[in-house]
Amino acid sequence: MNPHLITLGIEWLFFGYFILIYVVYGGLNVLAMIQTRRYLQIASLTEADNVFSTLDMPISVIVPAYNESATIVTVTRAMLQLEYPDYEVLVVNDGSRDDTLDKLQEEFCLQPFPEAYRQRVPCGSVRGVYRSLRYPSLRVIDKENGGSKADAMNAGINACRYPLFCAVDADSILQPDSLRRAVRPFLEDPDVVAAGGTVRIANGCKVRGGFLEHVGLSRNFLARVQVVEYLRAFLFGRMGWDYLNAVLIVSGAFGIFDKEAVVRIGGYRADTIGEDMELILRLHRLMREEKRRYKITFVPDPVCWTDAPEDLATLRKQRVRWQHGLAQSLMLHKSMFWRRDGGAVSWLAMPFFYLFELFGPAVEIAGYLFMICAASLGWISWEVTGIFFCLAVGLGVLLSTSALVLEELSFHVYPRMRDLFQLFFMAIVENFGYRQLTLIWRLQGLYNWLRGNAPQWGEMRRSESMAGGR
Amino acid sequence: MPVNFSSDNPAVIGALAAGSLTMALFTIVLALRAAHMLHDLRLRQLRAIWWPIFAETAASGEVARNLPLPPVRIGQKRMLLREWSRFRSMVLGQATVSMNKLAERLELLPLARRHMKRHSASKRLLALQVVGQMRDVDSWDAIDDILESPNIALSVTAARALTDINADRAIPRVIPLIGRFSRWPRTQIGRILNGAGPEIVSVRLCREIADAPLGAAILLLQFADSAYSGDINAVAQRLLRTRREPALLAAALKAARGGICPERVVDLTRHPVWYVRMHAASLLGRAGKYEDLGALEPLLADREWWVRYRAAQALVASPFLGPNALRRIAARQKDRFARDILQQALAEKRLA
Repeated sequence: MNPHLITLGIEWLFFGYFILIYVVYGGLNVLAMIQTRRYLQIASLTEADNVFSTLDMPISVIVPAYNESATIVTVTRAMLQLEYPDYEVLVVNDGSRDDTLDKLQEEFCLQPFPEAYRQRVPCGSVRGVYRSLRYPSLRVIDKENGGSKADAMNAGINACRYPLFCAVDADSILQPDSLRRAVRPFLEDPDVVAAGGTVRIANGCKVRGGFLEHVGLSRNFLARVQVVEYLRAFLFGRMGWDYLNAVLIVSGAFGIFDKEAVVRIGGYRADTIGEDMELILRLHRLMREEKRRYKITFVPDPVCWTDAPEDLATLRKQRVRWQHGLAQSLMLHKSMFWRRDGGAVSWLAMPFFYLFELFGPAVEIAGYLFMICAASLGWISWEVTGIFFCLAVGLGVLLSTSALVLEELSFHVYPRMRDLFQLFFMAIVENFGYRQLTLIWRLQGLYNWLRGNAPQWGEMRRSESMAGGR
Repeated sequence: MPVNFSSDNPAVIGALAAGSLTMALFTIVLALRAAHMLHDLRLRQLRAIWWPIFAETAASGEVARNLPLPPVRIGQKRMLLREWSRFRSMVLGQATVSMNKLAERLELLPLARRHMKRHSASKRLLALQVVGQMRDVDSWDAIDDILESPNIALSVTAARALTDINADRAIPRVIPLIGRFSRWPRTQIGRILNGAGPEIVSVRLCREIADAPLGAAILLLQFADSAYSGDINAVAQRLLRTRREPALLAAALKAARGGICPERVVDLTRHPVWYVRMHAASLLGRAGKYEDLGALEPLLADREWWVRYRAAQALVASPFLGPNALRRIAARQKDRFARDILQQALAEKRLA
């Protein structure tokens, strides 16, 4: 075989891969625009008569908490103040080693309650159920530590009373109308079994009493760059897949689920890292196996705000863990890949996630390395290498900017012009170093999964705005 | 053949195009932001002038009759139409009449009719809202054409507009469509039916439930609250007697408010499908007599938690049983789950 032909073939392979990835993302972008427009049209109808209807479905909000002593009281109080006619709050104390339970007992006058607790989905042993004397809609489940958020969520599912449950992270910041916005798909379509909401970055925002008071951008570079990343992931990533009914991820930070559908598939799997994605994939698989009509959807409204890592070490651990979880979830449900009756999930979303999200970091890094090596060895000119990098960076910037367009078309959350310029600046600079760094971390996550290494969780340092707002 | 990466190569052009497109996109972002800011400014100015006028009109009706009105520029009219509609949806009674008179003076109706013929869905949505609010009978046919539109937002707003214009005429047209358009937002349908009132809705809805195919009947039973109790109980009774599908039986039991043959409900507490048993237990709790309580006790030991829970709630809420009677029931339960669930229901009642 002619070595020159091999070089040429590899060159074209990488070029083709990069072009394909951006063509697919571009397509998702267009679908996201159509879907967002549709959504806003319907939303404008219900906004006009913003009256609670008797048809609103009651919701159990489940807040798993492990060593959340510093924030649990404010978070719980914020959850109790949501604007929704009928809901309960279930805080699951997952065997915290600090005084999380004592704080809750003291603040909310908890009293042991003879709950006829039934274990419908597997979870660790429950030590007791408490009910607040001050807030009838608040219950606290105290359980042995199960070693995962999934286990705590399952305990909450076992105890919840209502047909829908909302999974919320203990460090999530909701808006008073978050539940009302996110429940809309369930009211509009009886086939909906899960709905995710858009998660935004809280760093730099002003938070008071557990609620978001003012939206702003953090001064921290990493936090700012993650704002653009989240915009891209949520506004056109998930919204585009929503158009095709092929949403594969509902963020663990905020999601509403049909309880019976989740119970039927056995609840969250405690032995996975990416329990949120695994649950959605399992829902897709089992619903299709049972030939049920179902929809897993996504609400573009900014309903949940979360703290992003502001230092490289925490961010690295997070990204390594995410990629590990992604690999685990996709491999557990590889039978969904190109299934005859699998619809867009099997024929579009799964191949996309395998090709671009799972193995993407390996191919991209290999592409960069090959181009540099090939140019150093004189197999291709430096000009070619330069063009390759320009194309990769240029298309990356283009995609991030298109996410800004979507944001501006829909919610324009960041009110100041200065923020807009900063976000555009971030959309450019994230492609010089940051993106490549995250690729390396993701590759490490992939490696960890292949080796079966245990994931590292690490301590999350709270940002200034989050710490102050609590 | 080696790849040619000279400046006329598509890849080079692609990289340059990506850069130019990025700049173009950001220009669009800036333009959108500028348009948004301008719109906000105009809206604030418009509201500063018109909301006090709307408020005065709604409160006294004076402005609608004879007081002079500020001039409206052509470019402001659509915004004014939206603001008028927004304000109009917030008022009730005589204020709606005054607001409609004001709209006539401002000649908003012709604008709304023109918007209804436009291609833009958002303009048509606004127009449908306005013609409905102004009870524009002349637009009936145009609205009726939109009623079966594949765009859910448009079709449901058309249904609402027709009901606003003439509920008597609209409800017989709208109710059969509820069963067909399963994707119509349930909250919107609920508002349409509640707005029309049970005197118009009740008989039509119940007749449709009785004649509809399975899926549509289940869907329509969700709106039982919009009908009179007597009518809905009668149709539920008929369905419980004649139909066998578990989902329909459960929906009928859920919709019924009483007046159902107790023997049939007691029969259904032994149905093989758990959710039918659960709804039967709930109905016995809501509307059962003293002699029906005996049917609830065995359900405390049902294999399904929800059936046990609803049976326990029904017993605890029963006006025929005091705390001592409930304690006696708890004491004679041999099944631990039955005792636990009754204890829980009692504790919930104490804390409520």
